[in-house]
Formats: sequence, C-alpha cells, structure tokens
Amino acid sequence: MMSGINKVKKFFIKVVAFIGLALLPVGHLYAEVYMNTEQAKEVLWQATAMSPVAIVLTNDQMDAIEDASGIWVGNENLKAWKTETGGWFIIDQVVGKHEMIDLAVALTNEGKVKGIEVLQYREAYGSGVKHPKWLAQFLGKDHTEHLQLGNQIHNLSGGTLSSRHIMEGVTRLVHTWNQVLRHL
Amino acid sequence: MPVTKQSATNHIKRCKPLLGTYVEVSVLSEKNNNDILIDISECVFSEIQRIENLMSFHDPDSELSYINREAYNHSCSISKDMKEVLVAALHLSKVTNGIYDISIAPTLVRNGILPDQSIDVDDQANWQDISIIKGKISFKRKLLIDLGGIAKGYAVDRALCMVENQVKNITVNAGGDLRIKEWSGESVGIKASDTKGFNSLIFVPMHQAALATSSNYYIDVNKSAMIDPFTKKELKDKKSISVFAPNCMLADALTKVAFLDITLIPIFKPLGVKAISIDESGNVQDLCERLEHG
Repeated sequence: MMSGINKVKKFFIKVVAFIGLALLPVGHLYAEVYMNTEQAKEVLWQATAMSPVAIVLTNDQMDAIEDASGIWVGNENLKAWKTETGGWFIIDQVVGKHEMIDLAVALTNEGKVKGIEVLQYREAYGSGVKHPKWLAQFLGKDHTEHLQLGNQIHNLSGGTLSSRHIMEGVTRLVHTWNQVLRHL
Repeated sequence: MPVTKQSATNHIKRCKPLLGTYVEVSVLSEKNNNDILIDISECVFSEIQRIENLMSFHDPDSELSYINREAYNHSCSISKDMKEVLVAALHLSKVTNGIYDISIAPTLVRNGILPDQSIDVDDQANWQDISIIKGKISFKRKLLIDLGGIAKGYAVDRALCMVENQVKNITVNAGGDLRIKEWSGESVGIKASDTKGFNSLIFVPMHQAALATSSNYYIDVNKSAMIDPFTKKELKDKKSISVFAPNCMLADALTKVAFLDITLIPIFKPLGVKAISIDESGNVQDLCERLEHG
C-alpha cells in the first residue's frame, strides 16, 4: 500500500506537471493525416502476409544503433511486423525542429529500404512556438489529441522545409535492422 | 496475418520524402478503385524521383553533378529534361539581366547550404559562361550549376502532366511548390513567418495552376539560400514571396527573381504571373499592383 508521504509526493508531481503544461506557450498545429497503418501495409507490401513482433531494445542495442548510425535512439519500443518473405514493416515517429512525422518504413529481407510512407505530418506554428519542448508534448499522440488543430487545409505553401529528420529516422531504422531485426 | 483490404474510395492523399522535402500528392478519380489511385500516385512519385536523380546537386551520381565536374573540360550530352530546365533557366537569366542565375552555387557551397564537392570555380563566372548547343552543354569558365530554384517546380510539372488525363483532379505539392489540375476555385494556405518559424497561415485563392513560395524561415538565422548574383551577398529578408504562374517551374524560378528585384515581375504579367508578399504581420500585398500604383 502506498504510504501517506508517497501520496503527497505524487499529488505534488501532478500539480507541478499541470502547472507546467498550463504555462507552455500557446501555439497552433498544422496537421495532415495521410494513411493509417493498414493502408500503409497495403501500399508498401501489397498482399504479403505479416505478423507483429514485439521488440523492446536493450540499452546495449540502443547504444550500438546510435554508434553505427550517429543518430539518437529515443524509444526502446519498436512497432514492427515481419513479413512471410523475411522483410519488415515498421511504424516510427520522428521529431524535427518544426515538424513531427509518423512514418511507415518497409525493409526487405536484406535490410534495404523498400518504401517510405508518411502517415501523419504535424507542423507547429504560432508566436509561442520557440522551444523544442513545445513540440515534445505532442509525442506519441495522434491528430485527434492536439490542443489546437489547424482548420482543414487542403494545400499549403511556404518556405521549403527540409526532410532531413525523416531521412535520419530511416537511417536509424536501417541500422536497427542490422543490429537487431536481422537476427530475429 | 493477411493484410486487410481497404474499402474502395475515389481519392487518395500520400506523402513521401523526396527532393529534400516532403512531397504530397492528392488524387481524385472518377472511379472508386484503390489500386488505380495507388498506381497513379506511384507514377507521380516515381517521376519526381527520376527528376531528382537527374538534377540533385547533393548526389554525386546525378546528371547535374556530372555536368558540374566535366562541362568545363569537354562538352557533355544532356538529357531532354536537363535541356528543358537549363534552356528555361538561361532564358530567365537573359530576360532578367542576370538577376536569375543558376551559377550562384559556389556561394551556396561556401555558405554551407550546398555540399562541397571540391570542384575549383572561377569567381568571375556567371550564366553567360554556360553554352548549350545541339543538346550538348559546355562551360567557358569553371563554374557550378545549382537547379535548387527551378528543378523542384519542373519535377512537379512533369509528374502532374504525366497522369492528369487519367484523373478528375490532382495536386502535387513539393514542399510548398504546388500545381493543381483544376485550380479554379481552390484556395491555399500560405505560411507567413519570422525567422523563428512560420507563425500564421494566410488563405488566398489560387490565381493560376501553380504556386511557389520562397522564404528564409526554415534556414538558420545566419544563413540564406537567396543570393544576389552581383554582390554574392545573402538576402536575409524575413518576408515571404509567393508567385502564381501557369506552371510550377516558372513559379519556382520567379520567387527568386521577385525576392531579388520585384520590378522585373511585371515582365511576366502577360503569362498570367502574379506575385504577392506576406510580411511578418501577415499582411498580403499584390506586388504587381503596388508597382503599378507607385
């Protein structure tokens, strides 16, 4: 049973977290949903059968991937499916300075990139959006959970945003295959 | 576990990382057939990938990199696509008296915007040192071409034109350089910003089939991809300029011209070109009208 002190401590953590969220700068989010997981499976792997594989990376594996790719591994849980042909279908998330992307990546049985689909694209804007922590609060959430969602925008034009972060994410997954998936 | 077959619809919207940015394709078809929609969107992405493979400055195996390495030493045969883009670029250089210049790449390399491929260049070289005769290109001085300000628009045009007869409507949007088949009545959200990122969306109606926007807000505060070809200085203006044109290649290229010398834009008005600027407060201004009325 939780002690009284622990209860008080937990309560204070909740209060501090709530105040912290309330003090986050207000911004807006442009969000676009392209595909769900099932649609991406069909586009990237057509009718190839696949089964989910529960993968939790160990600290050693995360270090090895980071060393090999030069890219930080932020999440030990890998949302992956193995196909009957030995290939992989992976759902991943990347966070850039301006954008957050949910993506699906198909890797062949030799660890080569077969295809990439952006599932969801979110871009933060607004005078309050100045700090990466603002973006971080959206991690792991889907488009229905955002604080303020931009109106339905069919077309968007502006200065060109580099897709460097998504390419880094794909590089990280290729190295994840080399370090971990190829042995499964 | 077999893949679940999705219910048939008449539209699809996909996004892939291509051309160094996010390329979005929306297709509206007459029929409800997912396979056709996927095939058509695949064709669009493949065509864009093909153009990227030809015209990327970053890829040492691209046709452009080959030209940059060899065209000073000997004349090089070029592809039909490369010829079309280079001829258009050189024509724009001519009518803008060199304000539009695809040979500013060395400055972009020095500023860290483009990768250094260790190729010697002559600082005096400009677009006039590029010669295209009978499908072959040669450089009179050592120079480097970058098609970053035009190839994206060309790729959008090529991809859209390849499939437009098969669909009811299609939009191809390469990081803000976009073209819509049935553009009349469509509106577009243009990002307005300061140097910290984009801070508001301004909605404007489409004035032509294609739209491109140039702004510096995604680039580090101390860098800029916009170079004055005469002074070789970076333009760090915070404004955003959007150009409507009948095709995306022209829209893409003219955003650079508009940034460098807005007085040149009325030359292109007979082609249906319209330029607007959006300042930090989100105010939209028709640049041609402003010039006409002083």
